Amino acid sequence: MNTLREFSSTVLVAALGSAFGAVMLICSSVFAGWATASGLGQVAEVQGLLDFISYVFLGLALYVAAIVTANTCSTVIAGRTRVLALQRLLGAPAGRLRRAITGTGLLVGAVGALIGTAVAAGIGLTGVAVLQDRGTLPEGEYAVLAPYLLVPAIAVVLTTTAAFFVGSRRVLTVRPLEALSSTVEARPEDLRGSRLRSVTAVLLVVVGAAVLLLGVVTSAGSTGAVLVTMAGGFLSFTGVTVGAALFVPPVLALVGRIGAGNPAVLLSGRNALRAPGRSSRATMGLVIGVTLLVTFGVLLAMYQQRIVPALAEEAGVPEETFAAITAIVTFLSGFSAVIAAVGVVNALALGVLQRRREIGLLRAVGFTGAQARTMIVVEAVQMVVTALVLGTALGVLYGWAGTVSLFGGLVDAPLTPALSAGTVLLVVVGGLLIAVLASLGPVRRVTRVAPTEALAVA
Amino acid sequence: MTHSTSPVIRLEHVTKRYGGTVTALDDVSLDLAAGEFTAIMGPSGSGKSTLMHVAAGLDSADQGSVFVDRQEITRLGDKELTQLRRRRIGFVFQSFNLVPTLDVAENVRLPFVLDGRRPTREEQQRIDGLIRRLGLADRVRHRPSELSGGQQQRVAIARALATRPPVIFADEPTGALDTRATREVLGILRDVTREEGHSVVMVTHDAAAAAVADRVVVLSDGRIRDDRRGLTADQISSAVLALEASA
Repeated sequence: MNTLREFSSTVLVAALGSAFGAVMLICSSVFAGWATASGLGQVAEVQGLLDFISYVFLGLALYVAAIVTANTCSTVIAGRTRVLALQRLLGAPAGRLRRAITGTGLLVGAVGALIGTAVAAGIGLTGVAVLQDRGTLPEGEYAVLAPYLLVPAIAVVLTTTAAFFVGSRRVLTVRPLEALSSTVEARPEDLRGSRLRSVTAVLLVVVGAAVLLLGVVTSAGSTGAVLVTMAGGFLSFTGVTVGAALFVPPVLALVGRIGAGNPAVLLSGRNALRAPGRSSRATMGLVIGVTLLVTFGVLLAMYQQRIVPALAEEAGVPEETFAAITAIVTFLSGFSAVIAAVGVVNALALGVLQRRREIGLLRAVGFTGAQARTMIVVEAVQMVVTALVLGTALGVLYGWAGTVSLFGGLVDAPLTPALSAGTVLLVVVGGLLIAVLASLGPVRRVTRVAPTEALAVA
Repeated sequence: MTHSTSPVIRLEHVTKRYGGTVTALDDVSLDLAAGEFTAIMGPSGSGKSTLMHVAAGLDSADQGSVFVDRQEITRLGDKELTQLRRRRIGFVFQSFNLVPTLDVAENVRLPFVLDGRRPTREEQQRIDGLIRRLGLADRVRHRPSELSGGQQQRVAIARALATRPPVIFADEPTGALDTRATREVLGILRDVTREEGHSVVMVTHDAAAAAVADRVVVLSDGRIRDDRRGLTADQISSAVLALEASA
């Protein structure tokens, strides 16, 4: 039970992921029930499309969730190095220790999936009952509690377990002698990563960018160009994710320099680079969310502001429908950002937990409580700003490339990217909200660190 | 307790309890003279660490008054206490003295940085001198994890001395070091402070370490049991052992 509490935020991530997937599938199923009851045709095709969209967004959300979970797992393990080393010293094989941690992942994933699915089913049942009561939904068959709910649940259990397996890799490298070492600071994280990983990342980015460009260039003559562009986007973004430890730290370092004359800001910036891999991954989760939001934001804004006016005689989508589509797409793409936000909370909270002595030392030699609080908030802001910068840049590129490939053939004038004020506001305000909310708990905890904690011997 | 100069630390009838039942300090009065190296000794739980925490503004007294450099600190708020520690007290702890993300030079400059200012040219010269003197000149760009335990303690001493505080508190500064590094760190602490006129208050359970001090104060059960000058390590050992035997 103690383990579950330590990983309570990971349970939350699993629950969010499975609830998200289940709600989407329930919506699709309820829609099919409504279409059947209303006597519409092609129900199976439409439901198939809705299910497909659900699985794509569920896949994206679970990918972000897996990054967050693996990161939390490896952070917790980094904090437990001494205990693990002691177990190794006393004869526990590394493989068995790792299996135990992977087993925890199975438990965490199962509990999260159970909670998430239950919540989603509750939302679905209540929603259908209310809509039927109000007469919005006609009498008919609405399959809420159906076997399809198992799909997101099982997917969450599997990804969570896999994430724990990946995140616990470090257990294999804990040396028994570390139990005896007197240095408190863990040995620095290996910054170089594997060369293969870097090469793969750069290759994916370069090839992906080339394919993306090909899609854009050929868009005037071919209707299939958008598929080429999508392939390019997917390849290059996979490259960015694989090489996060390569691309994110320089941006973090740059953002960390802003205002580094202030000691609290200086220390936040340094701290983000203490475990560059870990901060990169925490930031990367947010980057994925922001990129998705901005990509769709640019697509929709360019369609409305550039394409529709150019094709004046053909009526565009009605205003209301467009607003509804925007809302749904924003929700679907923004959900990954919500999961990523939990990752930022984790990174900060564990950071404070594992740095109590360091914070005590700073307090002893003259860091005020207010400075300590500032340090934590700035850490969150630096991560969010980095994610906003990277995500917006990527999103604008992908959104622009996508629009040009889709509609470039129909419009003569060169297309420039557009972004609605709503999207900008959502991303910036949402980002700052995440930063503030993420730092609330850790800030409360940092205030409770007494200067005398620096003097504790253990 | 008769001193010609005014004391740098003064405790007047200080009492400190934990959880209402454990009395860590029981009506302790003590004057520590400027420029003097004092060792605070005593068995575990004697109150020696509490004495240091209260005298250094790291913890508050329940009763009595504490003066640092003639300023009463008993009723100061957290912010004023933090400022006092930053400007007028130097600290050397047993381990984990340095901020791991800052290099040696940055750690030494930390009290200035926390004060929101750069060292003046004179202060920087003094810092450079300290770094050279402590044999850290070729280490200024190194992170603490790249240094030996003895080197880390020397950096901590340089940081403690950087702002020229009237008093330096050292809590078991050699507790995590081997014999050679212990001798080296104690020698530096004694020589540098003697030359520069700093007061040093060192909490230790090691009689050999306490022997470098000008004065040895022995605590047990929250009270001062012995307070003498010019003792040898053997004399200190037997004094502490006698206390432990009677406890």
